[in-house]
Amino acid sequence: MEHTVWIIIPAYHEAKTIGAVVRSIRRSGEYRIVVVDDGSTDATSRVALRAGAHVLVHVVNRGQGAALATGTAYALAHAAEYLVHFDADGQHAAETINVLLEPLFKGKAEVALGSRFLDNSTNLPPLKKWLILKPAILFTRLFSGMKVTDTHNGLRALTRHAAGRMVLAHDRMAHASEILDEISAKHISYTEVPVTVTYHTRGQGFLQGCAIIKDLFLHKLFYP
Amino acid sequence: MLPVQILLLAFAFFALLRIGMQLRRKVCTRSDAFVWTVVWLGVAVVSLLPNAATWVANSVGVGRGSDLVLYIGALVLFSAVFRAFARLHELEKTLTELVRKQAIEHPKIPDQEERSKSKKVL
Repeated sequence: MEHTVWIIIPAYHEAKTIGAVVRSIRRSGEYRIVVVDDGSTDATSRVALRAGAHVLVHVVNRGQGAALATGTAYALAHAAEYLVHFDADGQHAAETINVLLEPLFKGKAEVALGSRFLDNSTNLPPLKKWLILKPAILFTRLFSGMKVTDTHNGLRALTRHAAGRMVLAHDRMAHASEILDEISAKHISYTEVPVTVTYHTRGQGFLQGCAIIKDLFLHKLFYP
Repeated sequence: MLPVQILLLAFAFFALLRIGMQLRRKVCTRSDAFVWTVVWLGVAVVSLLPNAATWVANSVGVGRGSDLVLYIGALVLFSAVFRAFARLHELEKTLTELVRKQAIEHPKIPDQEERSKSKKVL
């Protein structure tokens, strides 16, 4: 592959799945992989390293947003031309990385966002879909004015230029909305790409969904 | 003298003593000590002469002295909570930066790891 692509995987207690995830990505293309072990107490970093990923270790847990930002800083310092955010729990298929990168290679957009709603290939739990994801989409539309079909999907690809301009200050889970805010505020061109997410276990539960919204509101209140 | 007056006076007295002690041990700054001394002296004056508080309250359009004290107290508390929030957020940010710096400065890279392992074998 002529481009340097870094795959960034934040991981917290994912020793069971991280090895298979890293290996499947390595099989799917010439990617460089960095796993950010966000203060796990299990074998996450050892397993990831053995599977062939670079591993950065947060000595204490700082949240998924913080881990992504750490991975981004590392990738940018190591000649990344393109960056892909990927989940550690095996929900994402490694084959979709290429699909996400395609519009960026062609120069059609600077950011490609994975969406579970563009086609119906993902079987979402209905409660999660209507109580969390749909309201989150509405929330995003109200606050950042972006008409995206899926706001909390962990799969996205960015160009070096776009990643370098984004400031991710949300350490915890609300970073997904923050990325959208940054795209909107900095007029970064984006496109949505249909992706399939397989639910082995649930992603963010209902309480976490509430926590995201609480985080966002607090942030808007105190740091306008 | 009412029991509540004695209680408040005693409280103010010990608080002032503490400020003096902290100042001598240089745990707090002079300006902090000044602000708190004014606050506790105010408490002492108001508990000795409740009418003084009422007089001040009336002059700013509040009916009772104790109400004015409550209003001011609520304002001070609100701003303190707000400041504590902002401070906490700042601390969290600093902690994240620190953790990030440490993580990036000590990456574990697969090839190097294998090489160091094979060295051990040799």
